[in-house]
Amino acid sequence: MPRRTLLLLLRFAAAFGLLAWLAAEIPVYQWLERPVVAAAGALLHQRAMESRSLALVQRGEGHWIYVYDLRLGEQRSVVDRPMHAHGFVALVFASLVLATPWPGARRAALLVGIGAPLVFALCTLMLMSDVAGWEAETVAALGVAPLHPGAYRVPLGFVAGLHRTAAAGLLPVVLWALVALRPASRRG
Amino acid sequence: MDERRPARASRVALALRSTVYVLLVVGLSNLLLVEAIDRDVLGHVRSGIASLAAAVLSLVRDDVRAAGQSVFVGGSAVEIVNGCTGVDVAIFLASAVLVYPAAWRAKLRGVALAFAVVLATNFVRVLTLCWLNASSPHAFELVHVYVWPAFISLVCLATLLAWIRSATPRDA
Repeated sequence: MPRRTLLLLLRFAAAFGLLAWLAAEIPVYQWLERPVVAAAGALLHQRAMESRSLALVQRGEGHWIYVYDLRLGEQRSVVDRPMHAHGFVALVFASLVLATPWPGARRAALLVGIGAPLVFALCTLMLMSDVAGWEAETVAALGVAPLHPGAYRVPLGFVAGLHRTAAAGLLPVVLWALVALRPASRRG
Repeated sequence: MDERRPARASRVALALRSTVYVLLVVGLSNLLLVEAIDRDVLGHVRSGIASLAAAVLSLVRDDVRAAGQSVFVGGSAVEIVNGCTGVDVAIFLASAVLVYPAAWRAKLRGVALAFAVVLATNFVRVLTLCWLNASSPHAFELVHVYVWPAFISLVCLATLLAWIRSATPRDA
């Protein structure tokens, strides 16, 4: 393996190691999860006789859970689920940015400006896909006919596969590799 | 003006490749959720990994057995679920190989390499997690959530970089 590639990998390993250590020592994943929960909560579908809310709450030392509150007419159900570290994707992205040799202020701003919203959108979509699943379970348990459109107006089926496989963290890695190692354009 | 054309074409090609890559991983990942594939293909992969992991661990411990898709070590059990097979990660890596501009022979070699590297690495991951779950649940949590995801990302990046290097023709 060429020295340049090896250095790149070492920088990525060092950056990710540092960020993962920080995440284990201080509640980085919880901080990253809060805006994701806020966005997924704000996008919940509300209408007459149906209300939904999503929150991230601490239950005991270092134990965080999502609380999904669904009201359908007279019926109410509250679902508790352990927090999922969606922020892993953000940590991978941040490590890639830190590992990349300084590309100049303009390119770095472009990289972060495009990448960060995409990472945030991916994390939010994954959580929304979870919430849609919890609602389907709850509605079935309550014995109510499936609701249309359910928790969200947007179709989320396409995210289910990404999320369930837990490999979504590789998306920024591969996209970064495609950008960084694209074949050079030939000049005439 | 002419000099800008190749650079622009390169950017368009990159955007196209990235889009095709995302569509490919989304499509293939959702394919894994199809009930028939889960039952007839992934079910066998999960129980195969459980049996193989139990066989390897029983070389160093007596209290190991596999039952269906679970590995029992002492009083603890680890269930092999879809996220534990490595197939999902291999799909992410193999898709990158498929969209990268290279000869088809090199791409096929890359796909085989992606599956071999990811499945082998993942098997070591399963072994360590089964072992740690029985001996140190705290270490299990740490290694499961922080260490292995980072290491697998690193292995995938290294494999992809190495493959791109081998698949790209060098100018004389």
